[in-house]
Amino acid sequence: MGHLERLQEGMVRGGFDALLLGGEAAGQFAAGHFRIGVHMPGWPIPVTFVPSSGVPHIVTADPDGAVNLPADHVHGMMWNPETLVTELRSWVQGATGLRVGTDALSPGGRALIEAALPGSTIVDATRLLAEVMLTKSPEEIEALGQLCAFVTAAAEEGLRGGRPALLRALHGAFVVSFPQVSARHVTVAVRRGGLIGEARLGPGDANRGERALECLRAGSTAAEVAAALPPGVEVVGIGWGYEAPLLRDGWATPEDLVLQPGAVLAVRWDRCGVTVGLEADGPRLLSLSPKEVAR
Amino acid sequence: MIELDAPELLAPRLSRVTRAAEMLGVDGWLLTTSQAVRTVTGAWSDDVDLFGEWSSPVVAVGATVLSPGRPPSDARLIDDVIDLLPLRGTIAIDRLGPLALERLAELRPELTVQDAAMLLGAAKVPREQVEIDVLVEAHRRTEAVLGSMVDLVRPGVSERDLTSEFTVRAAESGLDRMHLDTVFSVLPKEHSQAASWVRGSWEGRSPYRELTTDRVLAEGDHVAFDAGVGYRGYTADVGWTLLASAKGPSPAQVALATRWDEVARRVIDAARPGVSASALRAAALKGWDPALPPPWPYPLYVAHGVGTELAEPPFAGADFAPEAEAAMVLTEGNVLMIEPYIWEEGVGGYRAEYCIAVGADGTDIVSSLPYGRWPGS
Repeated sequence: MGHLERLQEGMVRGGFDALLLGGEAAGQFAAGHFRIGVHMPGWPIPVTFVPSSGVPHIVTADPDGAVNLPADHVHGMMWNPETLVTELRSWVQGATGLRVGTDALSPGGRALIEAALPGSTIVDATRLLAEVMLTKSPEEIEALGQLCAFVTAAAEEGLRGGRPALLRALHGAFVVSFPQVSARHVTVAVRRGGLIGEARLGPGDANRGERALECLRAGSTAAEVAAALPPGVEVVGIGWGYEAPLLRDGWATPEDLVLQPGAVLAVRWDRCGVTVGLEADGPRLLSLSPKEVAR
Repeated sequence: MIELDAPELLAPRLSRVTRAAEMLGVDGWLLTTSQAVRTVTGAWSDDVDLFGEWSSPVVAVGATVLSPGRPPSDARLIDDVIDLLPLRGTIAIDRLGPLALERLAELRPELTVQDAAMLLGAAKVPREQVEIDVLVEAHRRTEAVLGSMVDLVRPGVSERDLTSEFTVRAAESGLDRMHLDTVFSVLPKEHSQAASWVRGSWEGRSPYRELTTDRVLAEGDHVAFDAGVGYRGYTADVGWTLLASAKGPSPAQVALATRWDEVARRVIDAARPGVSASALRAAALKGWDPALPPPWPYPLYVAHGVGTELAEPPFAGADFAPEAEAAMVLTEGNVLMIEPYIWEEGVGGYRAEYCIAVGADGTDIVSSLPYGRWPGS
């Protein structure tokens, strides 16, 4: 089953009539499009509209990144909020009283949706997104492993030759958080081919990383895992972006998300980090091991 | 790890925010986008995932910064910061999930929520000279890197090769904050080459491209360049069109660049304090054949501000309602990008970006590269 089918199946199960998403990763997951990498999200809001059946609508600067979608479902960036109101009404064909899920909005954005879709209820969609996006296909896990190897190789160059060497090895891949580079450590995360990969090489306690991996068990809730993690360890889903779940300092969000085989997680501590794919019998390293990343 | 902007840069921003809060009746703020947090508090962290801001988010409540905080979709974020929020009055918020907003209403029923856009917008101008100096320095440094790249744009290299090399050279020049996936993209020369672009809302618009790929440059390609670079908390937006040819531009290509410059100069001549974004749009369209697409790429603009964000008001030529565009008025201290786009069937496209600073008596062109011409010509 494809991403959209999985998402729409979850929407029907959860009673969502539509989703209006601002997050880049969730939007790309749902609609399968691609747009220029840009930092500092917030305005104009990247928007993906997902009906409970049928084809999503997207708002983008790059129609050539959305050739998978019919032309009348690909819309130029809307700087005027009123334009979005008008379009939203047409996308729902005038329906009112809908249950619309969203990730995070500005108060003004929320008011716009309420104006465009009178009588509608705006509810949280992040729990649904977390569940649907958690499990990656074998092909996606393979691609994430390859991306890990690519970023790690670049990080090794960074340790040897500094920031320019790191960037040269990344060959123009879009950094999603600014690289931190010194002679003793490198932290870097990039987006390439629609996926996110990270590498964290540096000083750290390898035993703590290994103990963290022992806590990652399919069938456990994120809250159970968070409670068991050694202090100072952070775990975050990784795939089309940084995703749920996020586990840190004994808490998790969403806390009741059950970890499944196929989940891909970034595990971080000190200046170190590894990426694992969760399998039925435990995590499988997609990156170097805790001992190898601790320098 | 949290780092802080220089005090002399934060102070004027904070002063404007405070004044704007008083004017708008805002008693406090809860900010969850890293850009808003940095604008108001000067605090930033390289741990932030700037793409989606899910991992390691920063949160500001008043002058207090949490890093990392919980994601804005998590209702417990409100519990984390509740003691920092006023009991009643008005709070400005830039982004929260429905569950967090519900939790806020539950714990602070007498608190009114206001969109932070007005507060943040009011905090942008008038800029002080120390801020303008940083914007100018960022622009000139970025242009210097671009200038060093001109000879590398030739047949046989790929778009991605060029992006990579620019990124390396920028870092070597102290510019290591790329906020945009740096564009080196071959522009279509004919509609038949732009089927994936000119469709749906883009029908009838000028073909354009900005997604950098592994495409290899061929003789005579027009290569659009666009970069967004962070520098000391402010940004530079630099764009030009480069020519992959050792033979130099043809007369048609020279004419194309000249037409671009004519549009850009009309907009620059119109820019002064008190003038609206509508007037800039009108200047771009003065004498322009209405049968042609407007001389800028859809769905972008012919002019926009630059400051702590890559693109900020005033916007001229975007899809704003006429009254909203007319309400965006230039003030002394605005730094603007003037960036028309001219495209002609069989010749191709040309886009560049003049950076101008709006002063009391007129505008200064900050740009140092010879826009309106082809590099090396």
